[in-house]
Amino acid sequence: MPSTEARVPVTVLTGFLGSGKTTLLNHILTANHGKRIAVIENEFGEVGVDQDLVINAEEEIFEMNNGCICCTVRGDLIRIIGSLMKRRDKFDYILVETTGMADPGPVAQTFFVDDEVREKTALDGLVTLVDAKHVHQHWDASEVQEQIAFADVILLNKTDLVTPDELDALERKIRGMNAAAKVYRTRNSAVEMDKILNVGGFDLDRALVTDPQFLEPEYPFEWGGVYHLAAGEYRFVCGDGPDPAMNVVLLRTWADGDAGRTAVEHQSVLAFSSDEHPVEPGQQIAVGPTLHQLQLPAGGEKSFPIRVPETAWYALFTEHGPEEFGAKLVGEAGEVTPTGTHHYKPDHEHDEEVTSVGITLAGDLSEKKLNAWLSRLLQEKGTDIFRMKGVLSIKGDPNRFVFQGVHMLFDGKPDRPWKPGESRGNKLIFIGRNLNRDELTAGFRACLVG
Amino acid sequence: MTVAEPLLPVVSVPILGRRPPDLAAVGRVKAWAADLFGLPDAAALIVTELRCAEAGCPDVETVIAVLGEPGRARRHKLLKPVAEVTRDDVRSLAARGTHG
Repeated sequence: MPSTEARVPVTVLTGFLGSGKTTLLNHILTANHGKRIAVIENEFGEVGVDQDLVINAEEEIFEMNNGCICCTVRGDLIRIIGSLMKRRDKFDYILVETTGMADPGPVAQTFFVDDEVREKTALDGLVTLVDAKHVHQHWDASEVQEQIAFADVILLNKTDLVTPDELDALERKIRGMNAAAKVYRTRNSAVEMDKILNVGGFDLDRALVTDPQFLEPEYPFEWGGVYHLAAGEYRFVCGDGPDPAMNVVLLRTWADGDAGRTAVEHQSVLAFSSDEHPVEPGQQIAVGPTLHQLQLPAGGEKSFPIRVPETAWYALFTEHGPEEFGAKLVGEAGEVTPTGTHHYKPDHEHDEEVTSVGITLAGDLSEKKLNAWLSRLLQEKGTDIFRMKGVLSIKGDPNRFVFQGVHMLFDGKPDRPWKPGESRGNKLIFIGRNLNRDELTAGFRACLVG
Repeated sequence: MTVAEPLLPVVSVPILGRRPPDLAAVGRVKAWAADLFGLPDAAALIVTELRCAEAGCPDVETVIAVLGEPGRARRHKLLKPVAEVTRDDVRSLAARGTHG
């Protein structure tokens, strides 16, 4: 008999050992949110609450592959969910806690692979805890990369153990990988329940509205700011940082704040693609579209003089965030504070293989071309694509089409009708490794009708 | 953590406009499989209807997989929609052994 019951929302909790997962789990189980939660846990005996719906799972990975498509699932979860569904009236929610070294792919795919599980559950969100202090020690582990890439919600935990600058830098690195996740900062895993339960991670309207930077194009510089400078002598001062050199461009602009910065953004992009001019400490940074490659050998403060020809606004664009070098602009009266500062989504994260590609295109898609492109894409790149989410406009379909995928597994369905006057268009995001933005965009664009 | 032997090749590619699964049919097939494969319950089964966009593939196939340790896991494909799978189809799979 087809079930007319609401699908059970499922939250998957991942995070390295020591990230605060158990503490969070205890919060969830003891908070007074009125939800009855069935918990499927992997780490034995750590949950300190007496709960008759706490089930211990023994991770059983099953691989289904034919050379083109590879899909791994958690066999034990399939069984457990099957059994749980016989007691459907006893709980409103399922929470799956994974082991520290878990690859979230199999867990997420488990909820797509069997037709009954797919209909009876609704994967609500993948929540990943990150130990803000210690994650760097494991940063290169593929499990850490994947846990961040797969997440709908990322909790930067143990914020009391790191500085604000370290936290900012970590958050930027994470957002550069996963542009769709919501990131929260927590101490002792303390977070409001509505930020981790019922997050709509697989509800695309909510998911895609998450980050204003999500669809921002990638720039070759990470920071920009505007200074109001009187004619005279200044110095750009840098300490030691993560790079022995940094590119900067200084341009005259004609407004203060964001307006002044965005007015010359394009000019700056052009300058950043021109030839680098190495500049030693003590040498000038000139106003104009010259790409200055500041040489920053380690060993203390380095100073670069700037002669400002006339009183005006000036926009400075730097390859790295100035805070990474403790860099500042100093005039005769002391440090000058910039306005309209902005951290851009970096495109130079060479040490991060995992990135997000967001595509927005107006117009309608040919269903046939889209199917063919997606099939080919998933067969060729499926293991590199961790997650996909999108809202699509299919020619001839009065409804929006929403889809989401984990590796090669894909689930899509009609959504609400396009409203009269609403412009029909497409928004999608890919999160994965070795993603080629140009290729993905070109391939998707070719699916547009006429 | 145990790793079971890989299951049969399964092609799982997206087809837009996919209909929601026929749960009644899925439930039926699982019940027959549990019975005919001698399983203690249907919880160890995966049944899914797939649509294949590859050339040479049939349009729809039903995959029935049994989870388990190596030797007990099995996987089968029937080249028809799940709603058209009969008890005899499942019986013939049981006779076939663990693959096919």
